[in-house]
Amino acid sequence: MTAETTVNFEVVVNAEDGTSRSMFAPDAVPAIGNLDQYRANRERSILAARRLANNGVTINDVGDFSISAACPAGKFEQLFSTKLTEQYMPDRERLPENYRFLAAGPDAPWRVPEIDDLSELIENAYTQADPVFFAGERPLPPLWTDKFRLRVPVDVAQIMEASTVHRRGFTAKGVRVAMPDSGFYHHPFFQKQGYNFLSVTAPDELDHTADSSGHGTGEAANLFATAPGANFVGIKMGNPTLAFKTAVALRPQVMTNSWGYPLDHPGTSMPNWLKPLHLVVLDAVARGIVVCFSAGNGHLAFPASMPEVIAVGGVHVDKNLSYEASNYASSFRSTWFPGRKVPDICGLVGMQPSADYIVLPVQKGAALEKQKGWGAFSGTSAASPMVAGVCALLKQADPTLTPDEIKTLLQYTATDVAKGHSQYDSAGPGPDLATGYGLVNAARAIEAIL
Amino acid sequence: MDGNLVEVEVLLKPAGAGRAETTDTVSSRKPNPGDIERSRRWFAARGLNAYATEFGVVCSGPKALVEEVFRTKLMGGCGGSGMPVFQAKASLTPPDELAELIDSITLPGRPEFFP
Repeated sequence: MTAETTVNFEVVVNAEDGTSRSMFAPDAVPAIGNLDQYRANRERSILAARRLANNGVTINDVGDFSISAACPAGKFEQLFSTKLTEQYMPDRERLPENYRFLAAGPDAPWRVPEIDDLSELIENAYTQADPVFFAGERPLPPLWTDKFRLRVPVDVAQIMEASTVHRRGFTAKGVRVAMPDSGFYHHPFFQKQGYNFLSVTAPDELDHTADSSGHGTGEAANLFATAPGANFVGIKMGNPTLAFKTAVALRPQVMTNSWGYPLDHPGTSMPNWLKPLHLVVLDAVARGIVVCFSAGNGHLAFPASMPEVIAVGGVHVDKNLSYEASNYASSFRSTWFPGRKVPDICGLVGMQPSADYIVLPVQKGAALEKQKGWGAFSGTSAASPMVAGVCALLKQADPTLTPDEIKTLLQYTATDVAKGHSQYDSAGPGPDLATGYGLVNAARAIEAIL
Repeated sequence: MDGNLVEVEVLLKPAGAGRAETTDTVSSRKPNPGDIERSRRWFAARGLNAYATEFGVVCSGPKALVEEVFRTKLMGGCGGSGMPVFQAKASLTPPDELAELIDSITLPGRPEFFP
């Protein structure tokens, strides 16, 4: 930690004007019933914030009780005439390795700055330590070195050509994306990245934040890799028809679904029990929602086989940036919808035998966890959300685009993949059954409409 | 979803003569909203959890109650990938009061995730 290290701190405005009480007074006992006594005078808070800002401090929030601010450690030391040192919390063996924070020690000098009359406005300021997450997950993906893997968000964003789109200001900001899945654990990764990550529970489920599988939590990270500004809503799913309907009621512009039924086999027709689901998916597309479904990992999957949805298959990109069809992903001709070929387009998918490829956050103890709140699973479940993210980028750029227009845009701007084979078919130059039109290229798709 | 609960999808007849094949025609497959609400209330009044959808009602409840309301016998599913967890030994029979509104009654399956 150096003088340039940023420290976050809370500034408390003094109560000497008589309109409030000091939270530091020896007899102060804040409680819900007397909370108003401790609210700072708003005008004095704003004045203090402005004067701090004039002296090189970044003001993040002027709150009811304190001002949240940040500045380099050296600046803080200069401003408050103090010395910050590395501090440790008690019970170090239970904390993450190397956990420490900067604070003024008990014997360090301390003085409220007198410049700009700040000493008349500020009662105290305390640096804030990073919180400790008790679930034990690391907030950033680990670097496992036993084989080549991709990490979210950077690797996925770069290979999907989404990074350049983000730099142009398209992050899917304001676009709502819904995802019915196994649950959505609020992993510190999502908080650390500053994502807009919300979840709800379908009427027949409980506790949307519990994800014993890890599937929904992990796949959500693939969505944010290509659409970091999206308004994400996960729907914890029991009955898929009900979860899908719950999602549609949230009025998303895009939906991603990393699940399906492996039943679209030759010699069969759609069973009656799938017809309600068929209808709600059709209805969603009719309402203008862009609906992505994973093609399956060798499964002949419905609803991916519906012509109205974007069926997402798999392309694998190795460490030499060589592209080939993923031999883990499905490709097939639908029996239920004659003429329909799956997939339409591809995202990134691992290879046989287990598609251990993209490192994704999961709830500690989840079935898909590999280590410390992270797993590596990358079937076509990974591909659908990353492609849905690109759909969300397009919706930000042009909200009037229809689902059909977006599918066509993705297809005609995709990177062709001419080698390798899916579980059933070989890739070749141009569109083919193995990969559809190839790997989605976010930069080219956006370029085509600007 | 609670493993002891049975879910049932009740698809109502369309308000018109529509048949849903595409996004262009799906709206003609929608039942009369009044019929959906009437059905939902009927099932809820009998103790089932009943949720309206655009095309009917999704119900859930204990196995014995589902058997009683739909006049059938249920058994554990065949266990095939993506197939319904429960299967009916006999057909699921529409309640007499709603028979003219109902197109089909089915038991949904558990989806497959593709990790």
